Amino acid sequence: MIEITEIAQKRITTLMRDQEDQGNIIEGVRLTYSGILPTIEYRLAFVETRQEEAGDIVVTANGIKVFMEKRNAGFLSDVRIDFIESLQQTGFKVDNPKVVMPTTVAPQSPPTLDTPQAIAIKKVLDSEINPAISSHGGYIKLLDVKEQIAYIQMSGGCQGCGMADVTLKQGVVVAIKKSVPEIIDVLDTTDHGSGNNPYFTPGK
Amino acid sequence: MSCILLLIPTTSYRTSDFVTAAYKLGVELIVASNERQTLEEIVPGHTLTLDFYNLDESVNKVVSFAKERLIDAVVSTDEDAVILAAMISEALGLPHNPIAATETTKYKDRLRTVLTRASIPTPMAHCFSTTDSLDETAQGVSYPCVLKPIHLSASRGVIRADTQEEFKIAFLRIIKILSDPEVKRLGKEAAKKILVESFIAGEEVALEGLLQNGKLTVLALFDKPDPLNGPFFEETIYVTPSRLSLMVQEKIAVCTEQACFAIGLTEGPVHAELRINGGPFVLEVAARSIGGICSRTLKFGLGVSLEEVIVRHALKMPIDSLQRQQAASGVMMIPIPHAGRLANIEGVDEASKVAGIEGVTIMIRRTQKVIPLPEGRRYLGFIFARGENPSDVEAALRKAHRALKFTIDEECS
Repeated sequence: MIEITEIAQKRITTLMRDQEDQGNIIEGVRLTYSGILPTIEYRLAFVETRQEEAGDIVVTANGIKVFMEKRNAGFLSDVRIDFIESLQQTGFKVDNPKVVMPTTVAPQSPPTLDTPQAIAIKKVLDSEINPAISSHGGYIKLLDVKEQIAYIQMSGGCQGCGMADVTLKQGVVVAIKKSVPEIIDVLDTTDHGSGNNPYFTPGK
Repeated sequence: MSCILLLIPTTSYRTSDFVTAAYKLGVELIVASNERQTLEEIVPGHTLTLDFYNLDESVNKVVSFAKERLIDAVVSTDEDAVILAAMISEALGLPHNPIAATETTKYKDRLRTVLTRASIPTPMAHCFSTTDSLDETAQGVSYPCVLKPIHLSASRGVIRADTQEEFKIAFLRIIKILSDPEVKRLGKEAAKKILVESFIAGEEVALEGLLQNGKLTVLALFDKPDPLNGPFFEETIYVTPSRLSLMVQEKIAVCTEQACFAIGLTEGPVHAELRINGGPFVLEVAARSIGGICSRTLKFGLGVSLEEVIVRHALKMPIDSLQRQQAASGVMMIPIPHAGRLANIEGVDEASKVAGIEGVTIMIRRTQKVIPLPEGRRYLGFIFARGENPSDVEAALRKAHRALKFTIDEECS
């Protein structure tokens, strides 16, 4: 059963009223997700009157109508929608008991670097990626592979580099997924704030 | 799947936020940057190298690339490539701002001319050559005035002068900034000009907006509570919502929309800066979103980032709400007190624990060189706060800033 916490319900209601003040009649919220297990991104969006889609599954939780695509309804059937307002983050938070979300911190259990997947990833790093990024003084180390997710750590010129996210998502992830198709994601565990010699630094 | 080409300079503060937004939306992403990415050869087709200032060559390169790969939208994350983004979009037949309009926003002398012709309140300005006679120029202007390079941003090289003597010192100081080889190379003819304009006293605000078919939606109006009276114009605190009266806020929005119309801007993000002196005066209108990582202080609707709004708009994806989340929020760009090398940073934990503070992000690493305005172009970092009202946010930012201690070694500068 979908649960909307009291604070989330109040927040959604307030935002719906704001929308209605602008002339939009809101029926409820649409809950969708993207990504592949276990790295799921959830998204809430308003559903205006007559914007319901054919085949939508509609569940009412704490007075709020939640719209879902039929194909997603099973996966989303037990989520808990909360609103977090803390020093660290502010926003809606969706917890799904059907998913164990990984953190960007490497798993605590002993790393498994002797599996065929890990060996194949290390080969990509050693033979293709690291020789290329060494031109910027960078180095990427494989820390672990758990549940088809590779955990890596950047150092040298990559640590704190302004373009590290491009290197990761437009390069490393693509290269690893191409060579090891069973890998579904690559998570960066680097403490970029501690990088003392980043290759590219932001500035106007 | 829609495909977006992001033009990201290697000096961008926004890389991670834009790349994350594109990933979150599940769109295909190509990143074009002004320096070759290390994995470009290993993973071709995901990154491109473009000379952001060799416009024709870069347009041809993207057009050639787009023969193999359909591109649905082009967005420049920063000021550097707004003209190029418009040119590429035109070549690919994609919706875009007119190229001439982006050029107007890029060059302050053109902006002043366009706004003045359209009778939009803006400082009176005159453009001088760096080779003009210093004595004659100093004698020919009214004081107080503000001198600035025509093509640099983030208050770089902007200096107030109240007397002829101060004018001469400022003029020579700007010439020195413009003689930097990189500034010269990128600015070309623009690096030979200095704009001198009347100083407009009053409160300053920054408007963040989105243009859709020429209609401006105000995403946020930021007050800048620290007085910006010179001699340098260091950006520090931005707080939204504005504490100005609703009538003044409305005038600011109308004035900005009129300025966009006069310039010819029709689509995409707009960042405008205005002074309030009897009414709004337009200082800047840029065809981009807010700089630094200040956008992290903004969330829309049910938690959408500004970058996601921009990507969605560019790809014509639905945007549920452009209404900013209701709590007051703010950011402080941590100023550089003096030149040198950053030796140590203390108090980050203490600053982070101040009530209302959401985060403290230090951008400059220990041992790196730091240069304050007017020559500098970086911030030490950013402090983010959220609260019930703008006053609480401002107080939290100031308290957190007081908790930070930066040791800058002058001997090594």
